[in-house]
Amino acid sequence: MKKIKKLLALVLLLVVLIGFLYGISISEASSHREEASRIQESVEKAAVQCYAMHGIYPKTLEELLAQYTLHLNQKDYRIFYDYNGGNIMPSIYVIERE
Amino acid sequence: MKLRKGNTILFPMVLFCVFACGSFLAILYGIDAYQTIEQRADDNFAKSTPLAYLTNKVRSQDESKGVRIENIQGKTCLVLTSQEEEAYRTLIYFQDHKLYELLIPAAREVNFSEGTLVMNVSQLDMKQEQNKITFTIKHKDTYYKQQVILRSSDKESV
Repeated sequence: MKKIKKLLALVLLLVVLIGFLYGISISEASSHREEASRIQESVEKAAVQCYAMHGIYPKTLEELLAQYTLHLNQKDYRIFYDYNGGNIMPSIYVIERE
Repeated sequence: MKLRKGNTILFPMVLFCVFACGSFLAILYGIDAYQTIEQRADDNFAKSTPLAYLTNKVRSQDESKGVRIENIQGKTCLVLTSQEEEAYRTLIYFQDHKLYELLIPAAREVNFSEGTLVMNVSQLDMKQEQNKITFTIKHKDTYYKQQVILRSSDKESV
């Protein structure tokens, strides 16, 4: 009986531990997705602000970053900035690096 | 000075609690300061950027019959028409508290669901009186207005 109790306690502990680790992994995945959309939103906002100030969209991401101080995690995320012309909103995509 | 046994445990615990509470308060203060700064930046963006953006859009296409406010499918749009060989038109419109932009060939039918999101705007009103275009936005119960006089109209009348 004592052995069964010990085994049950161990199983319960394992279940709690697995649940905890699963929860952490889910929240991590969701925070990664949020981070990517936050970066995209920041770059889009800066591009629009640049157009509002200068009447032209920056040609490259580097040009945009030179004018606006944005702290972007480019180590873990890749930012695609497709210039469509000085008067057309650029296409901006962010993907997580593998 | 000799400390009693109870005090030797209690004193470090109290010190630890004071340190933990102090750290927590410092973090809360930091969060509050950061949120205030971000809120101010957002407010500045929300009340000035849409108007500056629309003004620059008008200026970029301010040529003969290049800019007008039009009602398309029941939606008020700022229509910018290019006078190049292949005619394109840019439609800027307000929908669901957002400002959208749609670039299409002039002959193509408008499908508002294809528009690109430019920015969030709580309320936008666009009006045209002859050569004067007025943009009005509302942010936190305050109205901000921008009037743009079309230069192309002056050229036409000269």
